[in-house]
Amino acid sequence: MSEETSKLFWAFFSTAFFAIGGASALIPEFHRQIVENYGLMNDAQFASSVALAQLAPGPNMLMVSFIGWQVAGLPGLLVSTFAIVGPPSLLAFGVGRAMERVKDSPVLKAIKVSLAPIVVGMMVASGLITAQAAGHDAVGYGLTAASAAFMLMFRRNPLWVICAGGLIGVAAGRLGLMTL
Amino acid sequence: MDQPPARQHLSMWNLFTGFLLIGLMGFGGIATSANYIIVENRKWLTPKEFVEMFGICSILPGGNFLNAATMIGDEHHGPFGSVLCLASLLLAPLLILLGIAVVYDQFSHLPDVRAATSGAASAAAGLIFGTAARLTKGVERNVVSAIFAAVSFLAIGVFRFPLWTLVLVICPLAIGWTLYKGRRA
Repeated sequence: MSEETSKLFWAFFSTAFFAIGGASALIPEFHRQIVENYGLMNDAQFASSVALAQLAPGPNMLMVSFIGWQVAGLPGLLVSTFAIVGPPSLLAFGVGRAMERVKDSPVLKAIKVSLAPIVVGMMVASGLITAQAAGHDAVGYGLTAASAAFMLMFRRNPLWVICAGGLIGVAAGRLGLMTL
Repeated sequence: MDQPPARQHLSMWNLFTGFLLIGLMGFGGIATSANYIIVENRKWLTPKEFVEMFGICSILPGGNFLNAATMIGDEHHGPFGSVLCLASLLLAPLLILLGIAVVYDQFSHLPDVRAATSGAASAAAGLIFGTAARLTKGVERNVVSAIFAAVSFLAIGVFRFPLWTLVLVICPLAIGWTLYKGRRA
């Protein structure tokens, strides 16, 4: 392992165990490790990597794979992905098996039932944060409202809504209705 | 509560294509596409099972759907199934991301490109709201549930508390209340 890939490994491996809240909640910690602690990127490189990673579909954790790629190419990508995905997945694996063994226990049932409304609250929060980050104008909020309404009324593939959002964005931009 | 039917056994091909699609379709976070594929399109889990698994996976470290992929994979094909589900969830988005990285500098200054990404992100936010509404099907309907949902939303969405406050304060309170109520009943 080159020096850079081993730095990537330790930066992400040490974060993985405390990675409660997923990748978005971890951006400050990633910044601390990658920019301040190990000096693998400067501020601008880090910010543009995070922004680019948001454009692609898929789990937000991919931001880590992408930082690995930017710093050290394919080996960096593989090592970073393994370091951030490996430890929590091992834990989830163990927890999954333990839950299967005690699946009829009243305590586990109480935990599951109690967490369900919290998940809904968190999801509404994440919708709000995404909407605020996306666009602060009438077109942006209108698109958000329309796609929420579509989701409530139809059971169609959500990808269509994303494509329509992109097209309406282009149209609004051309008509000068959107602040960019 | 409706009793779910006995869990069906999912083939490796079914899991592979399912998680591949979840990754591919998951613009703006994968909660929306995961709910669409797992609950509505392929019916691997009931809404209740899905929201409960999501809850457990959200309080564990790591990406919540990466954790869910690990658990679902293991349930059907053991450790190999976990690796298969994780890999198929990550594969397509990674390739797309590398593609974006290569071309982005040439196109990022175009107004159309910026308008399209902004519009798509606004639409994705709406999908997340819609998915949250869908997920209420898996939640017990009572006042306490509504209070905990509202408190979680305010803490994370409005006051922007870090997520560990949810894990260490709100979740234990909710679980404690459910156990206390169960003991008195």
